[in-house]
Parts: sequence; C-alpha cells; structure tokens
Amino acid sequence: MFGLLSMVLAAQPQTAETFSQLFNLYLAFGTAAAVIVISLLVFFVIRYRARDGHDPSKYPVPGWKVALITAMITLSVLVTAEYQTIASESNITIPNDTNAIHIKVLGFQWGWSFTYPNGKTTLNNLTVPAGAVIILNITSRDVFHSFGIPMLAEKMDAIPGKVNTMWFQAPLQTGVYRDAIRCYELCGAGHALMIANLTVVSQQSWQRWISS
Amino acid sequence: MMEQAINWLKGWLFTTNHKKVGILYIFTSCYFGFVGAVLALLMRTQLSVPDNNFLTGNFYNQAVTMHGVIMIFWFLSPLAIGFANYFVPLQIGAEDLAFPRLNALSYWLYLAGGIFEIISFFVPGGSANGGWTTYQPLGTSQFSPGAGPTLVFIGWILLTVSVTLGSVNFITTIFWMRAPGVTISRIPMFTWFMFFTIVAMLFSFPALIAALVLLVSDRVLGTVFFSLASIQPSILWDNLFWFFGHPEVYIVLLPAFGVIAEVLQVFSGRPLAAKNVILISTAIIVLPLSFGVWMHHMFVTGVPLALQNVFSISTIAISLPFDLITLAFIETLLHGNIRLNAPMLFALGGIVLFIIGGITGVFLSSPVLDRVFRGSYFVVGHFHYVMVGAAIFGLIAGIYYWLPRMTGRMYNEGLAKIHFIVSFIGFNVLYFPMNLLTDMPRRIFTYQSIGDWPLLNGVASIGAYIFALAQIALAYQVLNTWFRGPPSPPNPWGAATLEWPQVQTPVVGQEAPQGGWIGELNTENVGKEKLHDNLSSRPILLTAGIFVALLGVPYYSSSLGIATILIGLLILAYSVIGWAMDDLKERFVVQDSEAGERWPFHLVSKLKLGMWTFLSSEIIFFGTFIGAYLYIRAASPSWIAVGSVHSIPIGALNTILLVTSGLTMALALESIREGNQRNLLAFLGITFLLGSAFMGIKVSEWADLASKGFLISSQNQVISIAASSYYFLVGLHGAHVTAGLIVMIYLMKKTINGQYTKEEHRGIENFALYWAFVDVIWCFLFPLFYLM
Amino acid sequence: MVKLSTLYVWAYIVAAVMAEVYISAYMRSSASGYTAISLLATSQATAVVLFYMQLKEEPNSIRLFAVIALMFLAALLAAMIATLG
Repeated sequence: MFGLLSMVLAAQPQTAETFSQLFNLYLAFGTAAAVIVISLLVFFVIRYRARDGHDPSKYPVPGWKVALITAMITLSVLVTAEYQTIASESNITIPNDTNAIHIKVLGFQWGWSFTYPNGKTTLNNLTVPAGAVIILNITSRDVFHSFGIPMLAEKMDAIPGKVNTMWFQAPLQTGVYRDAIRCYELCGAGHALMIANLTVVSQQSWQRWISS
Repeated sequence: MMEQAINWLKGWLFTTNHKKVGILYIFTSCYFGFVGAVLALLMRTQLSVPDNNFLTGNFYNQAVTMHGVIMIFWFLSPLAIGFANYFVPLQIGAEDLAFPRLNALSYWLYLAGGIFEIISFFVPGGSANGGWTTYQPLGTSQFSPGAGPTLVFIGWILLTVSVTLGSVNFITTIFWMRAPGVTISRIPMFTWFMFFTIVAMLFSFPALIAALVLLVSDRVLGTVFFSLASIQPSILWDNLFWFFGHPEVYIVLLPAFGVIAEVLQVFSGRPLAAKNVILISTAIIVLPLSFGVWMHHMFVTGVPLALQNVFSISTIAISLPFDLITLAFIETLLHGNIRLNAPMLFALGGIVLFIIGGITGVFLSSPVLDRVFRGSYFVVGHFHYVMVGAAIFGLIAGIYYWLPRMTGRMYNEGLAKIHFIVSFIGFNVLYFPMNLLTDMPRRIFTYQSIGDWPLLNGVASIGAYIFALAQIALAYQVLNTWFRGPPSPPNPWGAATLEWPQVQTPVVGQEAPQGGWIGELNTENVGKEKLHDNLSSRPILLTAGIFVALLGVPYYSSSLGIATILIGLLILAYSVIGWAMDDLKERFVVQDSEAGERWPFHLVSKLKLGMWTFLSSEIIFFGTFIGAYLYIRAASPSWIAVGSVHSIPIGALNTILLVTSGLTMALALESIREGNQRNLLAFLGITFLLGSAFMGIKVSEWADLASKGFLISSQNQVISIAASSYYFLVGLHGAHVTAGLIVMIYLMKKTINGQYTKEEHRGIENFALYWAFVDVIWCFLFPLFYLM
Repeated sequence: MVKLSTLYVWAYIVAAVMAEVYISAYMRSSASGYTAISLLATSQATAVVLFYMQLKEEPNSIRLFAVIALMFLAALLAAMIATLG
C-alpha cells in the first residue's frame, strides 16, 4: 500500500493512474463501510451488556425492514463501484494505437525472455522507450506463469499453448526499474527468482539500442 | 482388564454412533490443523527476514502447498463436519444419521486420505509442490515427478469421495430424520447452515473429483489431458478447479456462521434478527450464485472481457446477502442482555474479521484492480481473514460453546478470555500487513530487502508466533476440561436448541417439540453415557482395503507395487462381501422411527432420497468429464475423422444391448412391484447377461483399437488425446457397468433367498435407478465418440 | 402386467440410435447433423430418466435435485467453452 500511495504522488503513466483512482474509490468505500459496521457492533456490545432488571424478550424481533434498507444502501455502493470498474476497463482493453510497440514475452522455468519487433531478444530485462504504448504478447514454454508489473498496475498469465495480450504505458521517467517485473503464479522451485528489470530509455536511445 | 481395553478400542474403531464419529472427526481434524500450523510457522520463519535460507525453495513450495491442502480439506471442513455429526442429529431429534455405517466409512476414508497426505512428505522427492490450486501443467509428472504428488492427489480423491458420501448422508438425515414437531421452521440455525454447506459440497466436489481423477490418470496411466499444450489444459483445469473452488469458500465459511448464529442468540438473549431474510438469501442467492462466480479467479488468464464483466457483476452480487447476514447478526444484539463468555467473544471476533475479509473480497471482484492483486499477498490476506478470521474464530466459538455438552464439564473462563484476546491481536498482527503487501507475489520462498517488504513480513511473522502460541491455550483447555474440568450444569448457557437438555423454559426461540426423545436427552449423563453400540467392522476394513490398494498405485510398475494393490483388493473384496452378507443376514439393521417431519420428502423412502441425492452429484461428476471432453474437442486444432477409428455398427449394436438391459431392468422392477419373484429373477438374469455382453464387446473393441495403434502413447498428438479421452471416459463408464454387474450378483442371491417382496424391494428400486443412470451416460457417450 | 409405456420407450430409444447412425452417415460433420444427434441423445436420456428412473412419478422435491445439478452443470459447460473465446 505504501508503494501505491507513492505512485499517487508522482507523475504516472496512464495504466497506473487509472488503477490508483479506482483503488482509492474502493478503499474509501471499504474503509467507511468497515468503520461504520464495526463501530456499530462495538457500540451494541457496550450498550447492551448484561444488566439487572433488563428483559430482552419484551422488545419485538427485528424483521426484514432494516435488512431491506441496508440492502439498498449496500447495493448503491456496489453498483457505483462496479460502474467505475467498467469505466476503467481501458486498462484491460488493448488500445488501437498504430504507434504501439509489440513485444513478445516468453515465460520459462525460471526467467522471462523478450523478443522485440525486429527480432532482437533480451533475457530478464524489458527495455522500452519512455511514455510509449507497449503491447505484450505473453505465453509460456513450460508451466503456468503470471507476468506482472505492479508499478504499472498490469498483469497477465503466461499460459502454455495460449498467447495472451496485455498493454501498458511505459513510465515517463527514464531509468532502470529494478525487479519491476515478477512472476505471480507458483511455477516451481525458482518461482521467487523469476524477476526481471524494466529499463526505460528515451525515444532516441531506444532506436539506437534496438538496432544495435 | 485386557478385555476391557479391547472393547474400548473396538468401541472406537467399529463405531457407527454419530457422537463417537463426531468426536473422531473433531480430534483428527485438530491433529491435521496442528500439522498445517507447523507448516505455516515454517513458512513464516523463512519469510521473517529477507534473503533467508532456513528452507529451500523446493521444501517451501511443499509446505505452502500442503499447508493449504491440509488446512482446507483436513482441518476446516472436517472440524465442522465433526460438530455436524455430533449436533445435527441432536438438534433435529434424530437418533443417528440416516446411514450410520456410511458415516463411519466417510470418517475412515477421510483419515486414510489424510495419512496419504502425511506420508507424501517422506517418500523420495517429497510432497506435492504446485500450490493447493496446482495450476496445470505443474502437477503433471513431467514437472512434479515422483510418488509424493501422486499420493497427495490420491488421498485428496479419497477425501472428496468421503465428503460426497457425507453429503448424501446429511441431506437425507436433515430431510428425513427429524423428530415429530421439528418442522422446517423449527430447524435450528446450525443445522440450517450445515445443510447449506452440505448442498454446496454435494454439487461442487464432483467437479474436483473429476479434475483430480483426470490428473491422477495423467500421472499414472499416461493420458495427456493436462500435458498437451495445444488443447490449453491450464484453462481446463482452472475452470474445473474453481467451479469447485469458489463454492468451497462458502463450504468453509457457512458452518462457522451457523455456530455464530446459535451463539449470538444464546448470549444476547435475543432471537436472531431477520432470520428468514438470512435463510432465504442464503438459500436462493448465496448457494446458486456461489456456482456462478468462479471466473473471478481467472480474470488474467485471457478470458474474453464480456465474460469478465459477467463474473465481476455476479461476484459483487454475492456480497449483498453477506452484507445482510452480517447486519442481521449485529442487529440481533439490539436490546439484548449480552454476556461476554468465550463463545460470544469468538463469535463477535469472527464477525469483525469477516467484515474486513469480506470488504477486501469486493476489491477482488474488479477485473481492473485484479491486475495488481491477483497472485499477491493481498489475496493471501483477504482469504485468511475469511477462512481463519471468520471460519476458525466461529468454530472455536463452537468448541467453547459445546464443550460442556460433549464433556459434561466446564472450561476455565478466564483462560478462555485470555485465549481470545491474544488470538485476536495475534491474528491481526499476522494478517493485516498482508493487505498492504499488494506487490509481493504469493508463495515466493525468499525476497530481497526492498521497500517495506522486510518490515511487513517481519511483523506478520511475529503475529504468526503470537497466534500460534495462543492456540496452545486452546489445546490445554480442551484436554483439561475433558479430563479434569469441574462438572457443568446440563444446560449451562440456557440454550433453547434441542442438543441441550430442556430442563427450564427455553430462553429464546421455538418451543420444544412433542415426543419422548426429550426425556432421553434429559437423562443422559454426557461423557459417561453408554452410547448405544451399533458396531460394524466393515467401514474401517473396507477403507483399509482401499488404502492398501491405492498405496501401491504410484509403484504399479514394480512387482511390490502390484502385490500391494492385490492385497488391498483382497481386503476390499472381503469387506464388501462381508458388508453384503451383513445385509443378507440382517445383522446390521437401522430401525427408522415410524413418524417424523419429512416435508417435502414425506412421499419418498429414505433410501430413495439418498439415492437421488447421490445421483444428482453423479450428474455433475459425469457431466464434468463430458464437459472436459467437449472443451478438448473445441480447443483441439484437429480431431480424428468420424468412422475412421471406432466402428459405428459395433458401437450401435452395443448401445442397443445396453438400452435393452435398461428395459429388462425396468421390467424386473415392475415384476417385483407385483410381487412376482420368479419374473424378477429372470429379468435380473437377462439384464446381467446383456450387461456382460456389453462389457465383453467393449473389451474386444479395445483390444482391436490397441492393435491398430490407437494408443495414449501415440506420437501423433491428435491420436494421443483422442485415445486418452476415449479410453478414460468409456473406461469410467465400463467401471460403472462392471460395478453394477457385481451388485447384480448380490441382488440375484437375495432374490433367490426370497428377500424381495411386493412390499419391501427398495434394493431393486435403487439399483434400477443406478442402472438406468449408466444407460443415460451411454446415451451421450455413444454419439460423442462414435458419431461426432 | 407389463406397462406398455416401458416397451414403447425402449422402441423409441432403439429407433433414435438408428436415426443417429443414419444422420451421422448422411450429414457427416455438419453443424445441423451434430445438432440433430445431440437432440436425439438428449431425448433418449430424458426418456430413460422419466420412465425407467420413474422421475415422472416422483414428487417435485425429488425432481429438484436433478434440475439443480443440471443447472450448475450447464453454467460450467457454457462458461468453460466461452473461455476459449
């Protein structure tokens, strides 16, 4: 969570920005709900502690009315949340961008290999130009892996026999983001070590780098 | 003295008494809970500091896998089933469960499966290490070689079989065994929630059995369901596993809700608020919808966006009834006279933790947010708040609540309160940091010192030790109360439900029903009472046979393995025949009471209700296999041409033979309904011959196919997967036919003895159902394999 | 007395098997052929369940078991095939 908060403060690429906004909405709703309901419970426990001369059976048993009201409140919160999720689905829809850079990702026990449009291949390091729209075609050579870049709020499973697509906007700040890419599905003894760096370079250096 | 000891031992090993079986379940599950906790502590120790090398990656993966498998399947559910065994019959005034021997068999199968899980650690190569979800192809022998994982999956299948038998037993019990006066509206909440749990089990576990049987078939027989990448087996497994796996969450949770609902009423002195809203929303929203949300576990597997949205909405919809239930629980406290005894503290604690776990669950319903949370510690935090927070706290409330009823003694309240406070603090120190570790992957055995990971992991590990230490107090409490506790009043809490002797006017809830069994409850001196002894050695022996036979399965290529399998089969045959002889000679008779509340099944016999319950789970079981086959056909780039491998005329002939045997079986039933024993025997005989002919032709077909190179081991991928599906599904059907043929021998023997009459022929009736069901399956298999 | 419906059901199922074979021979690998065969198979199964398993004569509460199971199964099959896109 501390990681997420720091993301909110810095200038963010689009996918991370969309995620932060949606997450903050859920967090606000969730925190409010938890605080209200738990406080109510604690209040009741204190207020109605066993006491002499109190006969609990003389009060009517609550029926469906309160339930209906709470259901309505909850429903409106849930519908709002779901609506915002669907409105944020640009994050999980591949953009129709002719300038997008397509990169193939192959997961294996244990590492990631990246193949760029011109056939250049790197191991455990994904190099992209700053701010560019990147579309990844992800698959696996052996077992089920999951390719995730938490700082960009994107993840996609790497599944043998299946090619999945995922997109993200590269960070605006150049530099090497160490261990930014990890495997998020148990894939054997080396699962913890299936880490890759994300290297962000300027547009010109990327052209030089890719043709070298 | 010696004789006494033997009788004591027999009394436990051969028992079919629901209370004794319940106690066996409770203690066994606590043992497995201990094993799971040790594995968890090993993991937390490894993760307490960065770059630790306390455990290897391989052993860590075994620990993480078996921690999940053991805690969910051998601890949480069985502990609830233990309570259900003990208290559901008491709460509804039944003398025992509907099928007492089946209940004992369920327990022994559960234990046998658990022994497989434990010994899997000690075979070369160790235990399963692909996570409790075992995303394929990681669980196939290519990536997880060795006998250990095979034993784990076999033990798991035994557990699922045990659960299915138990589901049939409990549904029949709850609907058919209620004492006069216990109408539907008077069923207590714990029994209700167990009923919901059992229904979810009945329909979800068959999908898991099917998935595990396919996996074991891959590992042992060499089929290629999960190893052939071109048919996208990972997605097949995900679907089957989570179709089971999401209802499983409610299976774990609902029994605890049942306990909480009882405890809240008793310790607040108020009836449950909005009781009907709780029951109806669980029955018509939670239960059906729990089977329609599983794909939120698969948001990032690349399923179409529209499908993600459907499952996102269904997931968010299922949170609504839980919101209602939680608020109704809290509303129950209103105007109450709240006594904060240990059961109440744990129940309230469980509700608080469930609120947190439930809310983090809503986050996971969003496909967009799932792009960060999937596979991270946020998920681990979420489901531990539900499964440990709500479920275990609720079940611990049950332990304290019912301990006086089970032992006749009272626990130490002061120690119990300390236990609660330390547990509650330890729990939150352990799991809350995980909610913050949104970028840390689950199940990694080590990490470098980056960001807040070392801090949060360190705190979580400290919490783990606190939480674990607190449970020593629980173990001490239970044992101390059991052997040395001060005597408890018969109904110490003043509870109104019928498992407690109703000496005074009930404080809350329904009036006590009419009937003599209340007196029976009153006189009972619990703990020392003489349990009525319906001993049977068959359940444990039958399980022993299955256990030994399956123990040899991973080693079937060696002569020692074959010998083990054969010995196991001999024990199995001996106990099955013994079981049948018990019935023939009427040595084990369950007397059903004449009267009782049986609505809406008052027109159905007990056995038939059980049979239809079982068949409905078989629909899912076979349906899952057929669904897997359809999936494979849809995913496979090409398939063998119709008529090129399987001979259509022979298949059609065989189909007609089996259909005709269905006719003769129906005629056999009609004969005995009119009391004609001679015709019954004749038609049974013809059915037997037709069934045998069907199997004979089947076997000759296989021999012919194998000689033509239609083999699982074929180098041609299409032939390999086609052969895998054909031999597996048709073989499974053949196994059902063969089992039917064996039962028919018993039926014919009983017919010759003249034990079936116009009035009493339930055995024939139920077999006719089974045999027709085998027909139904073939009606689909024939066109699927021969004509399409 | 043998109930005639028992025999009729048998005759129907056998006829349906013949029809399936006929369809598969003359409409091989066509979508309409597959649909027809699937419908015939379903009708056979339904006939067995209603008459040989006597679901026709059982109370609704028993039928509910089969219906619930089939509903869940339908959800599983539909979504599973849909995941293939």
